[in-house]
Amino acid sequence: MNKSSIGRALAGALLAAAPLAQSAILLAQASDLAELSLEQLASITVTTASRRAEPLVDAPASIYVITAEDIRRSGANSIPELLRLAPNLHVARADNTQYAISARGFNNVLANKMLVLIDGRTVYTPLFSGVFWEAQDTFLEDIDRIEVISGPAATLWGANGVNGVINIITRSSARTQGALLAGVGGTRESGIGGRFGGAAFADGTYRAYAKYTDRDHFNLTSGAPIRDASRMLATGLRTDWERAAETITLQGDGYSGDVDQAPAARSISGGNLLGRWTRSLEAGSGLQLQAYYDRTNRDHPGTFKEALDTFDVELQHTIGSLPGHRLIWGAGYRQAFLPADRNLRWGNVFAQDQIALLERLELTLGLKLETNIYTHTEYLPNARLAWHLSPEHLAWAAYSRAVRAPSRIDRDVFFPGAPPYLLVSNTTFDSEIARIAEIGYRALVTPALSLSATAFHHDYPNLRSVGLSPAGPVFANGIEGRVQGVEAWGIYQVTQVWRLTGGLVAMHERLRVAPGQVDFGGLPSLGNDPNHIALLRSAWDITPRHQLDLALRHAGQLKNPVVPAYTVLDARFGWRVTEGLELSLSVQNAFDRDYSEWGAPNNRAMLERAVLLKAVLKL
Amino acid sequence: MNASRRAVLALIATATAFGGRAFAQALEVTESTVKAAFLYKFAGYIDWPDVALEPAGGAFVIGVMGNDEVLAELGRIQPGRSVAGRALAVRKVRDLDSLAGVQMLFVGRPESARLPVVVRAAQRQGILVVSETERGLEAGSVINFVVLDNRVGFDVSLDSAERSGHRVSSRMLAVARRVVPKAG
Repeated sequence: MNKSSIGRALAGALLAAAPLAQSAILLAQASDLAELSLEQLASITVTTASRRAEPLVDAPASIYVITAEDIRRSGANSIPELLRLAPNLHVARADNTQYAISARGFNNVLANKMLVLIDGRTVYTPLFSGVFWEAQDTFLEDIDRIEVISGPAATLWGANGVNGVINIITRSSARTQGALLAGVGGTRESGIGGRFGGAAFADGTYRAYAKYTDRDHFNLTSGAPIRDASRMLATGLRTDWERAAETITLQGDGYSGDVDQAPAARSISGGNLLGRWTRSLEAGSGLQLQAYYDRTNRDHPGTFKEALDTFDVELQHTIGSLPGHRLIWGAGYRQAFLPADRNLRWGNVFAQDQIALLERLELTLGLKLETNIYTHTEYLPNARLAWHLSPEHLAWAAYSRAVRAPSRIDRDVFFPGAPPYLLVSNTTFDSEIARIAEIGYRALVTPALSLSATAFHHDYPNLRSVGLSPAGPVFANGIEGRVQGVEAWGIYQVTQVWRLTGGLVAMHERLRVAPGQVDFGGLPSLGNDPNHIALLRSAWDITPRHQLDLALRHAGQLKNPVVPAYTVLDARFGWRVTEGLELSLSVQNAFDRDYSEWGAPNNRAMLERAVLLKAVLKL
Repeated sequence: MNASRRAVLALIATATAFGGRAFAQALEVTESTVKAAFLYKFAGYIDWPDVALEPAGGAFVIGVMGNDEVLAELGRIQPGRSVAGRALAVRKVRDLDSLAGVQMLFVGRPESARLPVVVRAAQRQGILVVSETERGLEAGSVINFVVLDNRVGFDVSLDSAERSGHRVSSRMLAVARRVVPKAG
C-alpha cells in the first residue's frame, strides 16, 4: 500500500471517532479482509444494496428497472408515486387517488395501452383496459423491483402491452423475514403498515403485511376543496417453498377502501389468490405454471357498480437444451365475469425462439395468438435482433405488431343510462392495432456509467374514434396516426457515495381522422401528452447514516386541455438512527410552485408542497 | 504485510470487536468483499483430496461462476497469496467444460438454477462447491453463504463434503451457522 492508503486508513479511524464527519468513506477491499479470522469476517456488517451502477440488462428492449434501493430512497408511499422513478413513464397525478400513467403517449386517467402486473397478476381492468391505480397497493418495503418496459412486449406478456409493461415484483418471503414497521405522517397523508415474516411448515417461509393509509383531500387551483379524500386498507400473505430446482409460491391480498366523491364516497374492495410453481430443468430449461383468482368490487353510488371475478391460468416452458436456440412457449386462459351478465374469455398460445445467428448476433422471433370474445383471433408477432458489440455494449432493433383488443366499454356501453344516448353499444369496434419499429443501444460504458437510448416509431392505423350509427354515436376505428420519438437515460455513479440518474423522452404525436371517417370527440380522449419529459435524480450518502436525495422532474405542456409545463424539485433526507431504525423527511414540490399535472383549468387539482415524515423500524 | 495494511486491519479488528457498528460508519464493506475473503479463508480449513490437487506443483485455483463482483474481489486478494503450498489463482468459469484444474468453485446466485448439474460434475473431479442461494446445501453444495442481519454467514454440509472427498476442519464448523451432518 502507498501513502494515500495510510491517509485513507487514518481518515477511517477519525471517522470512527466522529461518526457525523462528512468526509470520504473508506472502501474496504477483500485484500484487507483476507487477514481476518473466520469469526471476524462473520461479524462484519455489510451494505447489502449494490452501490455500483445497475448492470446492463442484456434484453433487446427499452427496459428501466426501479430497484429496491431506489424505492427506499424515493420517500413514496404509493405505487403510482414510485412509478415517477422510471424515466420512460409519464406520470400525472389527477387528484388524491387518480393518476394518468403511460409510456410513449396516449396518456389518460383511463390510459388503455399499458399492461400492468403485480407478481404475475394482470391488474388492468377488462372494463376499459386501464388501471384503477387507487386500488393497487402493497407494503412497498417488500417490493424487490419494478421493471418498466416502454414499447410493445405483447408476445410474452399479453395483448394489452402495446405501449408498455409495468411489472411489479415483490420479494420472496425468504427474503422478508422478521418484523418491519413503517409509519408515515405528513401534510397530505398519514398511515401505518407492518410486515412479519417467519418460517412456514415443511421448510417454507411466509410473510404477512397490512397497510392503512389515510389521504387528505386536494384543492382546486382556485383553492376550493375537492371531495377526494380517501382511506385504504391493504393486507396480504405470501408463502414460498424454495428447493434446489423448484419453487412454490402461494400468495393473496385483500383490500378495502373508500374515496370521497359527489354525491357519496365510492367504495372499492377486492382480493386475490395466486399460486405459482416453477421448476428448473437441466441445461437452462424450466417450467412454470401459474393460476390466480381475483375479485374486484367497485361501487360509485348512483352511477356505476361493478363486481368482477377473474380466473387466469398460464403455463410457460423454456427449452435451453437445443444448441443455438432458447425456446419459450406457453399457453394461457383467462375468464372474467363482469356485471350485467357478461362473460369474457381470452385464450392464448405463444412461442418465442432466441436464435444465436453468429457469435455476437442473436435473433428473437416470437408469435402469440390470442383469442377474445369480440374480435376472435388476434396475432401478435415480434422480431428482435440483438448485436452484442462487446459484453458491455448492445445494439438492438425490433419490429412488433401489438393489439389492444376491445374492452367492455368499447363494445357494450350505453351512455348515459337512459335515452337520449350520447353513446350506444356496437358490434363493430375492432382491435386497435400498432405496428412498432424500434432501434436501441445499451451500454455499460464504464463500471460506473450505464446508458440506454431507444428511438421508436409507432404506427396506429385504426385508433378509437366516435362515429355515427343509425341508433346514435358509437365507438369506431376512424383515427390514424403515428408517434415517433427517442427515450434515453443514464445512471452515473460519480463517487462511491454519489449517484446521478438522468432521463429524457422526446416525442412527436400525429393523429388525425382517417380519410372517409368522421369523429365526434374521440380524438381528444385518446390522450393528452407532453412532447417531452425529463428527470434528474441525485442520491448522495452524506455519511453512511445520512442520505440526501434530490429529484428534478420536468414535463412539457399538455395540449388539450392545456396544462402548463412544469419543473419541480422533490427532496428527501434520510437518517439511519440505529441499525434498525430509519427516519426520513420527504418534500414533494419543495419550492411550492403552483402547478398541476392533469385536468382542465377550472377543475384541476393543485399539487401544493407536500411534506412526509417516514419511520421504518426493523425489529 | 506493511504498516498501512496493519493499520486497516487494526481498525477492522477493533471495530468488529465492538459489534461492527462503529466500523460500519467508517468503512464501506460490500457483501461481495466479505464473500471473497471467506472463500480464500475457507481453503485453509479444508483437507483436499489428492485427486483435486493433481497435477502436483500447479496453482490452487478458485473458479467463479456467475458473480463478477466476487471474482473481482478475489482478484485483489490473489497477488502473492498461496493455499496448501500452491500459488493462489482465480478464474472465471463460464461452463462445465472449463472446470479442469479448479479446486474450489463458487457458484453465484444467477447460476443457482444449474447448481445440481454443476455439483454432479464437480463431485467427480473432487471440486468443492460453494453457493449463495436459499437451499444451496440441499442442491448439493458443501458451503452455502447466508446473509442475515447484514452479516455474511455460512452453512456447511458434511454430507456433501464427503461425497466430493473433502474434510472440513472443526474450527471452521464452529463458526458455521448450520451444519448438516453426514447421512446415515
